[in-house]
Amino acid sequence: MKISLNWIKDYVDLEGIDIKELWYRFTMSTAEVEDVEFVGQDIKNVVVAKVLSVVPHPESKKLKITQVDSGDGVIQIVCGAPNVAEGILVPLVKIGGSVNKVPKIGKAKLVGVESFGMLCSASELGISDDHSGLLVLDGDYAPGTDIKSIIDIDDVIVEIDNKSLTNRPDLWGHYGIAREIAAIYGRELKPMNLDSLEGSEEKAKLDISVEDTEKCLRYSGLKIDGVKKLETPLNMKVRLFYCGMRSISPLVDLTNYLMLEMGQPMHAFDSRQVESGIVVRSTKEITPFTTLDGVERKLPEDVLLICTKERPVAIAGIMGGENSEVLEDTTSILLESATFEGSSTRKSSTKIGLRTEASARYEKMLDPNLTVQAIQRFVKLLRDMQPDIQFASALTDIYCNKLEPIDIEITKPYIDKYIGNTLTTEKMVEILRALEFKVDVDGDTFRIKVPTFRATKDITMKVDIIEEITRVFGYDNIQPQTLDIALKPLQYNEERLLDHKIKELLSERFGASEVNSYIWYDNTFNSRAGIETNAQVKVLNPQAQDSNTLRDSMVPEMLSFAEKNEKTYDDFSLFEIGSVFKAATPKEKCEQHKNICVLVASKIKSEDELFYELKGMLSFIAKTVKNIDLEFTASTSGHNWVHPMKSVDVSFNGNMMGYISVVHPMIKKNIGKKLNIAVFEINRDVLQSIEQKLVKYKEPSKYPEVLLDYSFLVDNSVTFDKMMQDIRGFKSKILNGFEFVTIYNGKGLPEGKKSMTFRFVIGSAEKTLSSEDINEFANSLLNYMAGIGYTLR
Amino acid sequence: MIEKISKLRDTAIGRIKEAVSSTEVEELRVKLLGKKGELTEMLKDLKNMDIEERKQFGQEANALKNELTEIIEGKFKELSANDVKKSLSSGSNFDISLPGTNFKLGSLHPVTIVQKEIERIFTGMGFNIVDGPEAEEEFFNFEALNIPKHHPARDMQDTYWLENGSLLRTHTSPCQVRAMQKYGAPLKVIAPGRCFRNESTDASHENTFFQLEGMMIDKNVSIANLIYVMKLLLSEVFQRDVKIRLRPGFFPFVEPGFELDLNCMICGGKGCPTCKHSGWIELLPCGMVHPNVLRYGGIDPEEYTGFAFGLGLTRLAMMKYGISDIRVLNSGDLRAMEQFSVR
Repeated sequence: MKISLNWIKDYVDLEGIDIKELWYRFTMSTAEVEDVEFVGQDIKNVVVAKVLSVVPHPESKKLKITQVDSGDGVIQIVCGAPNVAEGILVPLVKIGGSVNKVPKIGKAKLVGVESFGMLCSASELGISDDHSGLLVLDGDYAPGTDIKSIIDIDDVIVEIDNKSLTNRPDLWGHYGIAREIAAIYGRELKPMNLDSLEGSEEKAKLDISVEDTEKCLRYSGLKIDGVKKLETPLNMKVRLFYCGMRSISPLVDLTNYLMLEMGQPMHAFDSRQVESGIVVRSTKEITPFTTLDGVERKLPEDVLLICTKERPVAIAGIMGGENSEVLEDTTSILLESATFEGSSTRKSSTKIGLRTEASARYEKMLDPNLTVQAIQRFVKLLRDMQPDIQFASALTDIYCNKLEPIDIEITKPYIDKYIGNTLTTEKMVEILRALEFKVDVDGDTFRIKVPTFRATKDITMKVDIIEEITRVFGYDNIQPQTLDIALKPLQYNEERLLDHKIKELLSERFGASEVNSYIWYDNTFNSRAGIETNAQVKVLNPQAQDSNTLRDSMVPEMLSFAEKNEKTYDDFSLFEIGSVFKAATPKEKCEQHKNICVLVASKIKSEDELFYELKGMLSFIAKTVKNIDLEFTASTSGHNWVHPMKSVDVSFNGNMMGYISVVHPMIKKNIGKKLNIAVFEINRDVLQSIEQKLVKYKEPSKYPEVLLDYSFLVDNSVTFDKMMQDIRGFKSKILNGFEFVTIYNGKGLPEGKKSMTFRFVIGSAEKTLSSEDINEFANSLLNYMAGIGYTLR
Repeated sequence: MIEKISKLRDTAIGRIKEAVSSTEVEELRVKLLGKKGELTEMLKDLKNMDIEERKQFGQEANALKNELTEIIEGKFKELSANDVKKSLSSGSNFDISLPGTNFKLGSLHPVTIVQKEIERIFTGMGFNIVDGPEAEEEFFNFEALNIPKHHPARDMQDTYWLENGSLLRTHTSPCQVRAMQKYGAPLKVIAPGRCFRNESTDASHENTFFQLEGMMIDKNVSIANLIYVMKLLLSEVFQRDVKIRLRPGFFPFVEPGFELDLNCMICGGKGCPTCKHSGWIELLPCGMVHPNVLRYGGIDPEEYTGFAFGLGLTRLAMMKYGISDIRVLNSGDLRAMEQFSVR
């Protein structure tokens, strides 16, 4: 919202206050000032001139040669404005002066004729966007008079962030802003000039009835006759323009001016169109209606209307109708000053798709007590323009939903405790009274009456009072205080610790890069890649239809990342810990948990290598974070990117955790063609729930252990798991353990065989093994193995 | 006999000194001092001598044995040092400029890095870390935060609604009420996490981003405490003494509510393009927890007070690393992500 400093000065004396500091303090105490613009500074050396004569230019059809009285002599000006005429008073930019877009006026020759200055338009003075012709000054000004002594061109226009005013209906007009400034600087707030409406009470009341008292809280009206053809005062026009509104017609300008001043929207109907009286009611069905901007709208149900007995004439609080607007020949008006309820106005405005200056104000929940004041102020301003207007009705005021006053009781110790600093009672009371709160002080107790313009929703409880005191006092003036808080043992977030640990392992130990992906599927990518999901959790209002499904797996998005990076990288690993969402149907509440997803992709390594890499990686992580050995079994995963053979389910003690898989060839062929890809996806929450296995310490043997490596020739069909089981079947007192070393299936082996190498660790706690002991062990082991069919290679 | 010893001494020392290799010295040692060495042989004659002679000869012979042993040791050391020197001086093609072994370098997401830093700071100050669901209930995201239905603040936070009636949380603030309900007062928690706003993306807007919610509740927590703690925390976060200011800000779940501005660190407050010439950067919203919110959390606002704040983790990471396009953070583009190898 734009605020004019000249306007503020009508109500607060700003003598001696630095303007920049003023708006800084306003930001610090009230609302954010986004911009401070000093307007009018470019306008220099502009005076009133009287056009004495106008003759055509001999060489140009457009230009005219004028002689003007500049106050200190008659000078010749060549002028192109269509409305230049003998006898008018216009602004003259003298040689050396400047206006908007013309930094310096010099002596000039226009198509061969000399010109000693420039006559200018309102647009060139920066006070209007009207550049159709010269600004013709009404009034009896002496030539040579400084234009700035007639028109308030110099001003400071301040832009206040609307968002920071959402809770302050009282600040949607200059008078409210002036009140704040008066409070911040401890200066007097001057009262507004109002008309007493004397004489109106003798007239008959208007026929106004309010049917929907939920949405219309108050409706005040007054009929005024004898309105003549008027002209909006120039300085009023300038203020409207500076505050972002254009001048339309005197009556409309006046209602707008009033709204910008008091924050109260008003509407003037042409009395001829509303003779049957006013009914305020809501639509019960879709209703066509043409607003005064000429747009025919279909109003939905439950929108508040202002109607006559016959037809709607305005959408309450939003916009008037074309059928009843004031026209050039209007001489009698019905003035509406009403309070419409905030959230219903907002809803209607959203439904219709029409947001106006008026609706923006009503949405904030205006003070119903403004309506009559606004009428009094309107009449005062109208009388200033035309003293002989007449009241054609009594002030008619339907106050159907009275705002109950709010009283708050608060004690000084409570305030001090809440602020953490001690302020004097005098200071607190001074601030509250400056903001027009009524305060009764009774010892340490303050009994406070909230002014109605703050009581519509903003201020309802004790802490609101504390905010008023502290913000005006200045948050910068509060001394920071350390605090003592009872020591309580920290409860570490174990899940977070696990996440960080795993992220460290993946990035530091395994060289993987962490990524973040969206939690919804990219349906377009999925269908192109051939990825099918049965995800049921749907977004009602997605940005795009192809992102309407929350993911139940992190793999699809990872695959899209793999595809993206294929061009640049030959070999890479990505990982993410993120949420997945599951439900049986879209209507059902979803279960959500975090998954750990790792993708390895390579143009160098085979997909088999990648699979074992992931299997090793996951085993390493499980061992590191939980000291457990995971269980791997043939995959049962239903995801269509899981390879039917090259995949395993991962579990521990019967708790299913996830899977490792090479990406299915049907999917792989649709994405990175050159990349081999494998993934694992593990439920973080299940992994977290597993208790860390304690390390079982065994005293190291005093006697040396002996390592024996044997390679066995094994049929290709024998799985590793089977072999492990078989070896476990061998019993020996001196066998301390064994492990798998390597597999070989290259050259030099008999057809259909592979070579499996194991390492056996033997030793005794009582003695050093003799060579006889070792030989005896070796023989019995090899015999046992040969018995199963594992011959020594 | 004495002469024999002194003669042996002269020749032996000369020969040892002339030796040019460790092998040669070892041969000499055996020849002189070994079991059948010259000096050993000489000592065998002792038994044939009389006492006086034996005593004198024995002393001399022992002295010589010790002397020779020492000289031999010395010669050994000298030669091995020479050997090392020689091996080092023979021109080597060892190229120290070849790069070291290339261990594959992984990376963490920049937001993770910043999140860990901030979690460390807060944990050090006794804050607990809590989490909340990303698919959140309307109650926790709005009602319990004093944002009733039809409140304009609901419009400001364009919400993704789910068909099942839940929503994607628009801020981490729902964690406030969840934490209060779970732990009660006094309470010191932070809740970092992902949030979602239904808006179209551009270089500075994302529909998916990280926030960090913070909250502290106890008896007698005041506005002055809030200012103190925020200044301290931000000094830790930015690793320097920071200047902050509070000004009024409107958020339904706090009263009073503040916008906390940080003195611009680029220009030091003089005004520059980064701070839009104001000298201040709007950093975080904060305020005293609204009594209604405390009540929703099951805490009596007459007994307890507290403050809360929200920090934009994504924004902080962008500030820290000078990331100008927010969209890169969710792009999975390794060229960007792999740079963050620091922990």
